[in-house]
Amino acid sequence: MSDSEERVRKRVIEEERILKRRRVRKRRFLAAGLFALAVVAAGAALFLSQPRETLDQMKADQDRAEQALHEQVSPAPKHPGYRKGASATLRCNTGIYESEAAPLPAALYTISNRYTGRVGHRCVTVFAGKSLEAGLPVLVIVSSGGGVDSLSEPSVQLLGKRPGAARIVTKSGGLLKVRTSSEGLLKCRLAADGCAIISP
Amino acid sequence: MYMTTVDPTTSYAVGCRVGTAGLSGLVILDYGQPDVHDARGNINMKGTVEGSALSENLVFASTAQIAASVEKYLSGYYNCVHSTSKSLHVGVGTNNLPLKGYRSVTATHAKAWAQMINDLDHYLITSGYARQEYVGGAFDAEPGWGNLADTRGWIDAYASQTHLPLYNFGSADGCPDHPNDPIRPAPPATCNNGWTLEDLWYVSFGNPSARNPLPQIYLNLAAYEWYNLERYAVAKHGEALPLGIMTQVFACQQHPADQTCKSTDLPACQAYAMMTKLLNGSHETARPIAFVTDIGYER
Repeated sequence: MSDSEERVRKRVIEEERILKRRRVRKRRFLAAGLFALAVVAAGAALFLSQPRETLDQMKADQDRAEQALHEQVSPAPKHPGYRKGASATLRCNTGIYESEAAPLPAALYTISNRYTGRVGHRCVTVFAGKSLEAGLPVLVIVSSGGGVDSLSEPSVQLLGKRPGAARIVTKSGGLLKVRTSSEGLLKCRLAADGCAIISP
Repeated sequence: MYMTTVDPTTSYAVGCRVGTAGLSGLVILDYGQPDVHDARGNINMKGTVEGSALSENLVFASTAQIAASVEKYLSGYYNCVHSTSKSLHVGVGTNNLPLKGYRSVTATHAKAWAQMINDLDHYLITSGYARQEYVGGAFDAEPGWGNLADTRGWIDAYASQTHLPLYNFGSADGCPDHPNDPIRPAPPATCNNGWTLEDLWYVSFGNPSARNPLPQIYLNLAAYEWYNLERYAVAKHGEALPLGIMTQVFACQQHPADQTCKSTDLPACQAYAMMTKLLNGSHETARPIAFVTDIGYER
């Protein structure tokens, strides 16, 4: 074999080696591409198989988050003068008392006087005065059954829409007569949880 | 409730009345049309004092005055409601009706409104009222009233400033009002003033802030319009969404001379029965009515 033939043979062998290497690389690249495609397809299939959150559910989730935030807030005392728990014996000294004292926050109410008396099995006290926040005549009614935790939440009744204060005048039968500086004389029927206005 | 005043005493008394009655649910306080004044107190679209022209009297109230009024209302409810298990959602409302001759339904107004709602929410949390009270915006959006772009712009601007709800208490005037009407997405326009059902869906249900709209069901025809919107919601968006009902019997009683009331004073119970019957006609649209309310004027 001549030198030139030997060079040609070596060159052919070298070219075949290069081509083989390229084919292997190409196959690897193709395999990697197919693998990546399979991963993406599997991911997409998994995503699509998940139940999608509806608009309604999404908004409900937002509302629940807002509610949770609000529920963390310590509630403001409504009428800190009132505490649950009273004496086991129901004592109820009936009458109209000309006293400005009341277990109500002075920042919220100015009290003119009060009436205390029994309604059924409960002792009811009606405070008459002025709501400082509203500027209106007000009745605040609270009752007790005599037992522990038997004191009711106060019922607040604003009287009329014009500024002024209220004062209890008389009690006759089940009716309280209340005079307000803006609305004149009003009558209300006393119950354990309020005093229903029956005449203007 | 159309609030014709921002007087704190009245606002407190109204809240206290609702609390004393032991009511829970959703209340809309409607403070009227978007309005803006300058520092000298004149209507001026380039002014910086955003607010509302109040219902009935068109007296201007700034967002600061409205916020103070709502705070009193919230305080009145909280202090007068007996039970600690009662809770109230309050929607502070305006509408998409521009002041005559002005373009007052703007993104700037919406942002000021949203900021007011954020401030009120902060007030509830810092005052300790938050366990029993929630606040959001409310928008009386009516196709016949407002330019579509301005209305959608207002809503988007509101949603960009707050995560708190926006209740639409408007109408679907001009929308398909027969149960067999074809439900067409868009175009052509199928409601008044160039609005499509898609627009109304977005305003009432689709925008990020939208919650439980309270559509004005003042007459039977309106029930059909909203029923068709729910059909559209199912067909186009795959789900019907909860809604409430607003009627105006009380407002009509307060305005006995109003001739339009003759045909728009459907009682709440009838509106409820009508809407329920329509929605329950198909399992796809069957949703319980979330809230029913009757609007009137607070003077």
